[in-house]
Amino acid sequence: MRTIHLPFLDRLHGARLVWRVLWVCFCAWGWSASVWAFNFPIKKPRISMDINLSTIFEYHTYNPASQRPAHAFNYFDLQNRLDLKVSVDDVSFGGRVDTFHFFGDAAPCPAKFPNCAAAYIPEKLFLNVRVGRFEFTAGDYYLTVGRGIALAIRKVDTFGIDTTLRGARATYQHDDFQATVAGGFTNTNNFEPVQEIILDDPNDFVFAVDVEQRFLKLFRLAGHYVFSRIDQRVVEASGAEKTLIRTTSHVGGGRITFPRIFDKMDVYVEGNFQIEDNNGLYRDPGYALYFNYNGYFFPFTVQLEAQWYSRYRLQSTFVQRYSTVSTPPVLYLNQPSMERPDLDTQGDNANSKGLRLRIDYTFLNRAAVVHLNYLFRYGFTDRADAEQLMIHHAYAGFEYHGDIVHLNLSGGWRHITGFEYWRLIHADADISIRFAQKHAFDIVGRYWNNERGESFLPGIPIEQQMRAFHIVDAQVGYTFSGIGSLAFLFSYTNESSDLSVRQLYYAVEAKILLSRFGFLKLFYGNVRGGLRCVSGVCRIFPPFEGFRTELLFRI
Amino acid sequence: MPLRDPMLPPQTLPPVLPHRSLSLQPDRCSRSLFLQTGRWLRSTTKIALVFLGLMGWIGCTGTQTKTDANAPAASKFVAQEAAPAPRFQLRDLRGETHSLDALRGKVVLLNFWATWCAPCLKELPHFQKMHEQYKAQGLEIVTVSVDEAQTVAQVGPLINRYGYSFRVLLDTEGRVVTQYNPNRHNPFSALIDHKGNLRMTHQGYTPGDEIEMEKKVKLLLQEAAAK
Repeated sequence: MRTIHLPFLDRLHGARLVWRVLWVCFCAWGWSASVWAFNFPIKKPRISMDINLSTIFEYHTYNPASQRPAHAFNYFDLQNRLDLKVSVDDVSFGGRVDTFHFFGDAAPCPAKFPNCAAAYIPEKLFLNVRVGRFEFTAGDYYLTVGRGIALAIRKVDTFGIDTTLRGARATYQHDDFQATVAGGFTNTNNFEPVQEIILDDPNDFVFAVDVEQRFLKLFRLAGHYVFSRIDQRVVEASGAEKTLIRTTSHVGGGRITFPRIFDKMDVYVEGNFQIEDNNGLYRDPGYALYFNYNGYFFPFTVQLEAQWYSRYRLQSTFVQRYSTVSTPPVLYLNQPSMERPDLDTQGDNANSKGLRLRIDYTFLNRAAVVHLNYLFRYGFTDRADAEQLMIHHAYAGFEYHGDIVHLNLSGGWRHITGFEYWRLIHADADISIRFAQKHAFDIVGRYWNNERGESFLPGIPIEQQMRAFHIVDAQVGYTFSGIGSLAFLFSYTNESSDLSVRQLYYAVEAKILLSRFGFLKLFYGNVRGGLRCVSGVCRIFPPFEGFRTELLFRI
Repeated sequence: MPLRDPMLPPQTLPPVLPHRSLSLQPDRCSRSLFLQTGRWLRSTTKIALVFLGLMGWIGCTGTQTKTDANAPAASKFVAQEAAPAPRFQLRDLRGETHSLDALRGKVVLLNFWATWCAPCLKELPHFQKMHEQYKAQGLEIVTVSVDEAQTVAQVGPLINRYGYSFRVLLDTEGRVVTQYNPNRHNPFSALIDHKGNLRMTHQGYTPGDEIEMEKKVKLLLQEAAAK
């Protein structure tokens, strides 16, 4: 057999030795590599991919101009949302793409969005990397500072608003210390699912720093700073955008948390100081104080929240909407309002002051709870004292979680006076009865008795502009675990003073589970619209008539 | 071929036969190489040495692959059909930091819920029962509250009044829930095996769902105990 001969090595001193040494090294490498490969295997990257697909197909059989004015009287629409995430060890990246298509919709598109009938919109893109104690995010991310009084960029499911900060964030965490630096421009989902219109991205600039340290395993002390620059833009006749008003806000604050003091109580205090510049004019500084106490004295639990805001302006977008429909602004805060989430109707908290007290009594081996709640709030706006809003809300409830029955009953009274008037008596029930291992009936009901100052005609006292109306919602359903559910929905309301508007609503909804992959939901009928509020943002939802299918698929 | 339910116990899976050409054992592999490298001075063996060195490396690397294949069938199955669960670090109600990595070796039932979510509150008592029943066997129930800043103050009182003793973590910013469940429909549960692989997800709650969940927890506990 011929040996391999490399002539240039012969020309070197001791070439043959070198040649042999090289052979040894090569073979040793081969041998050691074998051992290394067996005993210390190359770490395989942990790879995963997650795909979430949400597809909605609707047919609107009735859409008068006042409901969704951007669309025809009858129309189909297909909406799709795709979330994709890939993770390779400590690196993950992904995004979200929204697509929509309107069929049979002859409504013209506005000049700014010529593709309003069908389009795909890349909504989110992110890259997240964890390196030791650091975590870096580039692209879209949510961000909350403290209890959301200074900043909360987030998703509001009820309104279909999903706002992120598009930029970069770095977080360092070590033992009891954590620091976050983040900045970027606000990015909202451009397809607005309630009115089914396209919205602009706000592109407001936000920068935040948050530092937190835990001391002696007893309490945490934190400080934060948030800068925001919010532009109100207008579209000129030429189609170009122009900034009309620029508001910059500096918020500095601190917070202290005492969790589980002697296993009997939690205490949380947060303070924020705000300086705002509105188009070059500095406003008087504002501040916001929040206090939360939880006491655990079994069988009693006590919760007390209090707030004191003075000239503290909430930051929200002025994003230009293309439609004439009034859509709510995107709030950049999520401050504790102390309200029940569905009754948080007062968004303007600039001068709000108040407290909430809740006392729970637990019994029947912790299966049952009775609770009493009282809320008082005052202030809200810069108006004169006589016109300030005053809210009293008292309600009580009973909860029971047993093997056969789950009960959640509540009822109460809410009274708002000031520059508007609203008296509400409400009762809610959610009952679930299991009659076999995997079979159950669900009954959900709500009754609201309202008396409300509907319009504000000049010169006529609000008391003379009252209108009483009722809202009844009921749902009776049957669920079969692992298979799906069937529900009948019924609503009645005479909220609208327009007698041509429907008052009775009924629908049927079926949900079919697709194993671990998701579900398919089918809806036929009509549901009432009306006012819905979340975190102080309220909007009037249009009623819906027609059929709707929703497919959620996850791989 | 239909997809196999990843929750099936490993015993029900067909055995994986080793491939003959890659069935070298590591000891034989290294000894054979050593003996042959001892005759390195013979030029006629040099080519063979190169060849064997190269093949040894490839073969033993291949053997590593086959070692996985020879492992209990469930491991292979997991590698093919189960994905690693996204790692996270979150704080609990006391301010202590918890990470998923620290729970490696245990079966983890991860549940996302909120104080305002009625089905979530119906599901939590079942988790408490499972926690009491299977904790000693290696089940760790980790519930993650996705309450945001506005309602997070209500998490502690709710947990206390019902006396839940499983872990309760806070995901106020939604950092973790969006990794597991971008749609953020609540409740949402994920079952993670003792190797840190995501074996099952479940969305929503209707009475009776906990029965299936418990069955799957038992299977994963058996699987963990068999290792």
